[in-house]
Amino acid sequence: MIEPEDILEPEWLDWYRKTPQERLLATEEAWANYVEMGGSLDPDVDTQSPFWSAEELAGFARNARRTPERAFGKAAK
Amino acid sequence: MIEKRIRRVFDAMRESEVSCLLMGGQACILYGAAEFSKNIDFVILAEPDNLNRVASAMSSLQAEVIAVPPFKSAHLEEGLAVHFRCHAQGVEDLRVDVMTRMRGVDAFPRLWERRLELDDGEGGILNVLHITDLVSAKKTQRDKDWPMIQRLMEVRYLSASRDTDPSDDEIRFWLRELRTPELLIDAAARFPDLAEEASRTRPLLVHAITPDQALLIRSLTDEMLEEKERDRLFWDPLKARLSELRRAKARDIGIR
Repeated sequence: MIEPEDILEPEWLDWYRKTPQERLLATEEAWANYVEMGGSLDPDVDTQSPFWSAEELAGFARNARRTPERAFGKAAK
Repeated sequence: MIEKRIRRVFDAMRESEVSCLLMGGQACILYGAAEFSKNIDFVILAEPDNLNRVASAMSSLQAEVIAVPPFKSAHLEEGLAVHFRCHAQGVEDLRVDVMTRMRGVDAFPRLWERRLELDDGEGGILNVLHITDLVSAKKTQRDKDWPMIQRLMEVRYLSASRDTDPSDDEIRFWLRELRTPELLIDAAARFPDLAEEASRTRPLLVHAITPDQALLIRSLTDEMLEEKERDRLFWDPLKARLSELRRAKARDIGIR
């Protein structure tokens, strides 16, 4: 029988071994750190998503140019 | 003490008694197939009282509708998603998307019947879309959804196959949805009768039974491309509808 170690890469193996509650806590922490570092919660550019439109892509690009720290995170000091 | 943004949204939905199921990236995280997602997606019951409860939950998060369509039952019934952005302190900028129906996925009452009830670790219960439905919902035209399906199924197979006696339904689910060649070959060898049966509806399984890994890989790619094309065809009229709504919104803004 195939074991998790045979298929999953080491970082995924750790994630696989967590319980759903541990994963929820870990993702809350990751989210908090991401926002703390200036990460944007704007949607990523996803040209394959049916919800994206050319107009919204253009709008996103305009916003990205105006506020690069929000779109791509704060620059390191 | 970390700020629990995701939990705030779950709490808001629970406090407003919204009939909803967590899906999308956050559900994939709980199932162990993803580590991070920038928004929270729910499938919700499309009934007027429930939509009022969603409105109440969004109000408590000071959420506004962004983009199109507006939050109306008719748009949800068309199969469109409504996108909210929260402004309440502690959940600023967080996006919540809601849908009531998806291609290839049962209606909400059936989804609710087989939901996963998960202890959130703080005394609450999270209602999560069952993995069988999550896999169906992820069969989209987007490249990024397919590795997610593969990982969801890997985690499921590796966890559940340790049971000494998995149910036939569980084995059928593996044979129907696994996308990792090594695991498909493993499953076909362990459960030959069910693999034979499943190959009638998923012909690529013959390459897992043989086994022929090269042909299996090629067939998995073909299967994915066919499903992506089906999703594109499903979305063509809905994309046209979204364009129409965007033009109407632009005209409305112009008039005002």
